[in-house]
Amino acid sequence: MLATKSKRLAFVAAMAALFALMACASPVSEPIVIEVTSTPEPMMPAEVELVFGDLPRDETFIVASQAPNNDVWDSFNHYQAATYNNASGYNQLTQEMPFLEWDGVIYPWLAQSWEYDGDGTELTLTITEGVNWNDGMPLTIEDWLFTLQYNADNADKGIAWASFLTDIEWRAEGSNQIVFTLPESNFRFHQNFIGHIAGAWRPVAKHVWEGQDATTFKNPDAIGSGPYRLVSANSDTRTVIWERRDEYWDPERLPAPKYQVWLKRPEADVAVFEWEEGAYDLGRIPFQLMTRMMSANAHIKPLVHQDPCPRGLIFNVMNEPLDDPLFRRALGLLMNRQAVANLANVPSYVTPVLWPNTGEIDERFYDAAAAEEFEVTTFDPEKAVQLLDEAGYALVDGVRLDKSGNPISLDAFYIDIGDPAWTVWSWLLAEQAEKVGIEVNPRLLDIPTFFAQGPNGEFDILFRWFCTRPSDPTAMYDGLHSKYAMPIGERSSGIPGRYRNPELDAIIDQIRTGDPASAATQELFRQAYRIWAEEQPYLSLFGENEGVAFNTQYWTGLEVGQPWVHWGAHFRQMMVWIVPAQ
Amino acid sequence: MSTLLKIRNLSAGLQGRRAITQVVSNVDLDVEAGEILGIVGESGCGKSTMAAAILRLLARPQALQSGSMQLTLEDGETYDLLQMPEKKLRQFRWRRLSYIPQGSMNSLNPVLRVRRQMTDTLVEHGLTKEEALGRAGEVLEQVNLEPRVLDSYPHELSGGMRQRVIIALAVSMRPALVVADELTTALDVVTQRQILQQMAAIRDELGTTFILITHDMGVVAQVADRMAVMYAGRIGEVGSVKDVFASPLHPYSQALIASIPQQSGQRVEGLSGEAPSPWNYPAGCRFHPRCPRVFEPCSEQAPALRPQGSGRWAACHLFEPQFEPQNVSDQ
Amino acid sequence: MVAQETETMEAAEVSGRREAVHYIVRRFGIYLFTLWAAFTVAFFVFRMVPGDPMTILLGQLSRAEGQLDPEEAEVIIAHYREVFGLDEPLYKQYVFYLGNSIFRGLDFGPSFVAYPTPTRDLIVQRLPWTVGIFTTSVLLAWIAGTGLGAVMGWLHQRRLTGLAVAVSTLLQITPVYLVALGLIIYVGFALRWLPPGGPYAAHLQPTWNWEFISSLLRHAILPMLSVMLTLGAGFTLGMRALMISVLGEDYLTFAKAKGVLPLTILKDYALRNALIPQVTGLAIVLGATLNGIFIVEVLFQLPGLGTLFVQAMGLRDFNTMQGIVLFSIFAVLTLTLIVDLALPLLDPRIRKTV
Repeated sequence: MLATKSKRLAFVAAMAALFALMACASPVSEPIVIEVTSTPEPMMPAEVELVFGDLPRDETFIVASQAPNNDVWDSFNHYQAATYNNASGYNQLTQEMPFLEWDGVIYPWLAQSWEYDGDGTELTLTITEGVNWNDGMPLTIEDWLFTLQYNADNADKGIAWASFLTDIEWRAEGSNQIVFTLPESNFRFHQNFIGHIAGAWRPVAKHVWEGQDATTFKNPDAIGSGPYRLVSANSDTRTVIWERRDEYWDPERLPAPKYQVWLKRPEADVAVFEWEEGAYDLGRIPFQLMTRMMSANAHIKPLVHQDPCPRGLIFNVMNEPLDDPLFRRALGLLMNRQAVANLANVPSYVTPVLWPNTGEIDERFYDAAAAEEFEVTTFDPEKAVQLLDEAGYALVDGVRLDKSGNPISLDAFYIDIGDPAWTVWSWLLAEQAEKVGIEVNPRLLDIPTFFAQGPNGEFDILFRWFCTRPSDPTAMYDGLHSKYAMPIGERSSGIPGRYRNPELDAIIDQIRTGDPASAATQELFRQAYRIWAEEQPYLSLFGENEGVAFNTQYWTGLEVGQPWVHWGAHFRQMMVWIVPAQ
Repeated sequence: MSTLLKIRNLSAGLQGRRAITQVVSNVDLDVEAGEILGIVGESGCGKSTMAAAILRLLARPQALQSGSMQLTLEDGETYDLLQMPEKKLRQFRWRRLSYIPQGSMNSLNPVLRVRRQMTDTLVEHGLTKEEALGRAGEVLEQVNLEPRVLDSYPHELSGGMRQRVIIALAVSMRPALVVADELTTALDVVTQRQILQQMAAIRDELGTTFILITHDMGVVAQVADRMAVMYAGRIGEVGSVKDVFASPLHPYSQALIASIPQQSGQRVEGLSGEAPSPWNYPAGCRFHPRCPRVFEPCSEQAPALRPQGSGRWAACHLFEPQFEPQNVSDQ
Repeated sequence: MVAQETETMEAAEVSGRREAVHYIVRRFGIYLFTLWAAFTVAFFVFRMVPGDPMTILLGQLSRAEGQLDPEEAEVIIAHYREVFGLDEPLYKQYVFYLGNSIFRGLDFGPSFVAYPTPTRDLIVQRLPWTVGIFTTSVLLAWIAGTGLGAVMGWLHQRRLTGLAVAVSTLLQITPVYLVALGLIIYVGFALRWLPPGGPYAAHLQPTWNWEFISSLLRHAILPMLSVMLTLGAGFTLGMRALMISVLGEDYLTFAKAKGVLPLTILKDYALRNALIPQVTGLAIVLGATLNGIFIVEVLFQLPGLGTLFVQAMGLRDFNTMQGIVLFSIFAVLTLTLIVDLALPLLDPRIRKTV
């Protein structure tokens, strides 16, 4: 017994020597540690389970991120919008925006309201007063003005929410109003201040950012106006610990969990065991594993919400016969959308518009008659055959020929993220197309290739999601503008199907400058919808319900239908609903 | 002269999973003290197996089957090599009998200097480090090598030098018997001659007995006192070199001698056929399928090695009394 | 005759010294050339992989920032294109990158996975993990495997070694990730003997106190074990084969005949000779581990170079991928160079043949 013990000790000592040697040989990474004045109380009643050192489990909310993301753990600089890490909690727990939108409803947050003058060349923004930063400093109009100027000054440094300030002037009006003067009529300027899913312009603390380089400053203390402050961030363990600050400016919306731990679990196959042990409260995990987890741990439930980005299929109109609207409509009729929606991880829904909806579609932006006339959600192979025949696509020996007399063969590109619906559509389409003599070849793309090949127009049919704002569905049409119809091989930042339609271009131009709240603009929306439905440059495939894993052992209160999605800025909204489990 | 080594009924072979394939069969052989005994035979006749068997260096799958080997030293003590325990044997080897293996070009460890390889042996056999170094220099001198060879690695030496280092190593403990397996194969004729002369010189100087195993009749003719002719794992004939060369008794010896090129452009007579491998040794006399003088008993019964007078022995039915050697006179 | 031979030996010694210098110079030249060639190949190969970091960035932006205005996205993309030098023609990028790597102290440019941390800093941060855990395991595996293999080769005719060979073979053909997953699931989760992943307990910060060090060691055991089991088995089998072939050499029979002690034979005759190729093998495997066992790092969530490479690949972070590959190539080549230069110490024949 003694011998084994001393052996074990010797082994441990040898290992220690080894690690010490290795530490001397090269600098060890230094994760940042922030000393917080009010450290968690060290003495805990014996029955309280402790996690992460001395955090009581029942007061800690643990988020396990599975998001493919950058690996930045020591920088809290949201200006690097493209390269920051969304899994640290910084964005969700400290970054507040003027407004937040969910399902067409806009919630005031750091600002209370906005108002345009008659012709849309002046916007008055009323900000919330009494706000403070998580280091205790007040957040005043000074910070707003500083940030506006800072963003404008750094617009060329690749930061988000900066270039919209070009040619804009602003001034403070009292302590709670900012007046923007716009060079031309624009009824959408306020949208820059509304967080739809994640991003919007947001103020930063003048006393932190002043004189700092927008691209390299790391904001090491993660200063923001949210209800949490940083305790520690560790890039080795990829763990960030947050503590609630009770002097938060909006006590009514103070979240229940005293602590939050955000960590990254890249290997789902391993994370599933930790989930089963109740190590996490909320997180994304492949659905097959989630089913397994739920049978192993009864506390784990799928938390379903409507993804704000419905899925669609883009046709490359440069490739014959996809240039023919009738042919595109025929393909749409071959698409069994309901079957695809049913095969999603969480049963989803078919939608005639590309914004999230629960079946009640806002009639102001939508032409139901056009949807019915052009059958934008119908599955009807017989009608498809009829359309193809009428349009002159002859069926010769069971093969459908295009107008030049060549057999029709199309490549349908999909990506695989573990959701059957994202892949199965291509096989269902291929099956139906084969029956009418058209060859459709499903092709899997890895995600980086997908992001390259898609915008470059190197596809026939491409799966993609459309993040459209229900309160202003401009984005459903805007990407179809001819200005985005680049030659094949050049990157298009619109909807990359190379669609051109001068009539639609004119309507889009008018919509972009019109006030979405006005009846005239809404009429234009309905016209645009009719053109889209008739032309179908892309198809609406399905609106997706998504499920994330939620462990109800310690925390509960989250339900379907509450105004949030689980990621980005909406997480902040979600926190309001969380209550301790009994 | 006294008999140094008495080999009786020695059999050795390859140990298979079920059976033993005999390579050397029932060998009887006496080695006289101070002589150079040549053992000749074609490749694969079992010479090397016998050499290794004498040193008890057979490694699996090779294995001894039966027999006895009695070594009688000058002081009159007699040891049975086959009964000796492994530990004693290790001490005994090299002090009393040593070995020059076949392919001795490769018998030196390539990564150690000659010094280390000589002294580790000597120290192992009881010399001190200093004594060992002195002795190493001494024996190298005996084979005409400079002491600086000690500081060389084997690859830095020529083939002849390496061979001489091996000889020096073999005689370094002043053993009574050295078994040299194909000592001069792979050496050029000039070097070969030098080496053989040195061996003879050592015998003359130290009285060491040598068993010289070779396939080269010329080598035997040059240095050996007596010779044994081996065929297919058996001894065919034993006698003094002079006698055997002058009047070979065994038809195989006759064939071997006939195959040596003579000075006058006489045609060399070869033997037809190939020597059998241990897996298909013929029944009876193993030479009978190739023997020009084969007759009835040859295929049925193996002839025993019998004395033929004046220190000569032969194993051939031609000389068996019960068979009428009717055609001996024909010769 | 003797004098003549002595003279040749002397001449050989002088020319040998000259040859040795010549060899070192030439070997170093080859080293530099290979390094450059590998660098160049890596540079161009990564740029042939489909996918452009900027379009990935764009995709990421659309995810993180929702409905970012296309024009705004263009500005951001343009900025990063400039930062990463992607607008320049390929040959200019190459020259620039090569120049920076050589003349600015291995400056591989900014990383994209962990912007704005420079790639070099990132590699330096991650390196101790890979070296500390994986290189150490490889060394331990090599030592254990070589020892075990030598014994198994030495005793290869004993029946028991047959079993050992079977076990080693089974371990060697098992993919390392299966061993790792097995250890995670059974030792980590089912038996709860050791933590199943992470570099150390997630609430700790690196400080030199016992709590941290013990946590570090406990977390290191399973990843090290999975590498050691698989690689160790390979080393064992390799060494055993080398040993058996050396045992058949003439000098071993001769050593036995000389009456040298079995232990001396094992040590000076068999092991010394069998070790030569085994050492070369170590150099190659050691270099390869720098990113070769990345899957183990990923499974155990260790912040080493392997994990970094996988992440960089997903983002097409050319700078980081190149930096890591270059570093690995550098390590493999340097270790091979060291072994090549050191091998003559182990094997005197090489001194001559070179």
